[in-house]
Amino acid sequence: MRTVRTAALAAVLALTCHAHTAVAGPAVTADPLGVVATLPAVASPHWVWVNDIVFSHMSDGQALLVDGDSGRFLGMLSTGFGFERVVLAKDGKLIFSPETYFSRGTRGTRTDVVTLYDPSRLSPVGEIAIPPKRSANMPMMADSELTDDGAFLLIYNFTPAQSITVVDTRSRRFAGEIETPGCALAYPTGARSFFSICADGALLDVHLDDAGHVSSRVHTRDMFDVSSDPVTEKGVRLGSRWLFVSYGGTVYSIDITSRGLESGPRWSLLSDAERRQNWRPGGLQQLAVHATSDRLYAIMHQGGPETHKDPGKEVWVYDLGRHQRVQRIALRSPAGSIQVTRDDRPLLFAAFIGSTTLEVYDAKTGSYLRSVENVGTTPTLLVTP
Amino acid sequence: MARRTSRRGLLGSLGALLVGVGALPLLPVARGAEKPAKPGKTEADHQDAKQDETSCHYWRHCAIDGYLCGCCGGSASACPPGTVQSPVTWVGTCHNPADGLDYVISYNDCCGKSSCGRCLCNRNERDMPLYVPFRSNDYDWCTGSSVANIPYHCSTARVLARAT
Amino acid sequence: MGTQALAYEPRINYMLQCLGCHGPDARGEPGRVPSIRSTLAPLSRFAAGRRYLLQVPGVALSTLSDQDLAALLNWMIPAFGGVEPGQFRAFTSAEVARYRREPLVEISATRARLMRRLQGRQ
Repeated sequence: MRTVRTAALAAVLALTCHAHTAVAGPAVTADPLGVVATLPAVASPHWVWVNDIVFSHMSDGQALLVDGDSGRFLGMLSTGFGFERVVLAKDGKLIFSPETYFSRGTRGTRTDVVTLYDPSRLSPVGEIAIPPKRSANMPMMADSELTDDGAFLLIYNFTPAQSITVVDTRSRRFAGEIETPGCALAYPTGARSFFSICADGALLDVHLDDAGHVSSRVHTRDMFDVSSDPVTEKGVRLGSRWLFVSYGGTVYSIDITSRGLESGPRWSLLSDAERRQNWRPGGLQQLAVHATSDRLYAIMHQGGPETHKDPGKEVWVYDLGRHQRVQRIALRSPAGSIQVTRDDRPLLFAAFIGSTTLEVYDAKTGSYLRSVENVGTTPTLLVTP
Repeated sequence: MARRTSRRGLLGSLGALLVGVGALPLLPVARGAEKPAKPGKTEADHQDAKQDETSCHYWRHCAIDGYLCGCCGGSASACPPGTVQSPVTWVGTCHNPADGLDYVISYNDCCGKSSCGRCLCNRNERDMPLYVPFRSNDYDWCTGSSVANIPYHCSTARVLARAT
Repeated sequence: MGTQALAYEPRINYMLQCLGCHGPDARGEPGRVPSIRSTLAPLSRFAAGRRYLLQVPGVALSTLSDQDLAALLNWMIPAFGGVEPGQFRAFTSAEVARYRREPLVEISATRARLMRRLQGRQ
């Protein structure tokens, strides 16, 4: 819902219309100039940010805000070239957006910034310069993440040397750059720690001090099998566990323990019959979790091994306690990205980079609720509060 | 870089036409408009297009991700006028059914203008996630080089050598 | 599935594993990608240099076997390093296996130190 308040200083003008012909009618009061909508200070858990790389016009990246309950388009942010996603502050009081700009739009000097947006006015309130090295890739959640207490924003760089830019959100300053040779992306594991995934299937376990500098950086033993069944980068976090899924539909767990990062249970999304029928997970944002019901959602389709990025028309739901599928949700349209809201009456959002329609389902019953048309150009990642 | 939906395997011949020729800036064909995918349907079903370098089914495009430079004023190996070819990229292999051989393919991006917008194509044979960069088509490789660190325009697929 | 299980000759492995960033002549790109061409042979002549060559991410984290990596490095040294085959101490699978298990977790400082050392030797 929207509240509309007068933003400008102009007083309301009342005009009375006098016609020369004898038309009698009610007096018209002109709409005041300068009225700008604002959003409530507190986001609804059923809002969704639809991030959009605008692949056909990549200098015009966008993030679009939709209310999942009403289907109403609430507003948007314009976010520059090769846009990945917004990152919502843990307390909801700021929106962080790592952005890239070229001085002449499609050429010229490149600058990278983290823009800070006011979540109620959807306008910039600050900007933090960062090294112009931000990786431009098919958007992943792990391109930019906050550490668990929200103190540090981590941004993946690729030049092609790999590193992580650390921004201190408390002082709103660039804190430093951490080399992560051979390892990509940032998966937070605590208030002062994250891991990156390395090309050999191991993890780089990084711990920070309170200034955001490296206090330890360890290359773990191999956690994933890169050669025969690689996991995708599209992991999801549930408590102290990260869940990743492989091309072939195996779930790999990474557990955050006091002893460090450990490999947890490994199980398959598929029965033997389903594997023979070529069912597999696919998509761009292919997994979602719902913590209080302990559920994992996965976009599924049928196709050969090279279809690991293909969208699907089904979302399979798993009980994470029993590692068993409990539901198959049929979607009206193929989806490449899903997200489930955190609350106890969760919505399931479904989008696809090849469609401008956002679909909304009841995440528990799987019932289709509504569609929202004309959301973006090439929607990528769905971010909810 | 980039992904898209219109592709091989899931498109009927109409879809292949849209991918190969489009006069309009192409957005991916919505999957809902296509015939449902048959499990196991492969590139073998698109023999005609395999030697057409403006087609998504072109044999060299087995792991390409983006707009085909052949539709953008360049070719499968040359950049369109006014763009810069990024020397930094990833290199894979593709199989050419015409001679039965595997070839080493370098997917250099052309950079410096906004997206070409024609012939969007994404295939992922032997493509790896971002954490194996030299096998990953999901990077905008324009940004990986100082001479081409400017917007992505289209993708080439240069043959480097016979793989075996 | 995943990466190719086929074995390729070193020239092809260079293309698939290294050329994309380091270039066809291994010159890299100044300021962005190190030149292998100018440093490979000199680094191979002393212990710390050899260790570095086996611990850089492109080597240490590669899915190539120890044997294929040794063969690749031993092909690269004459191909790019201006050294005749047989006139350098070849890498063995055992040496590769020993050091690639300890990949570098930071790289710039180590490289800078080694480059200063190379300059000192010249």
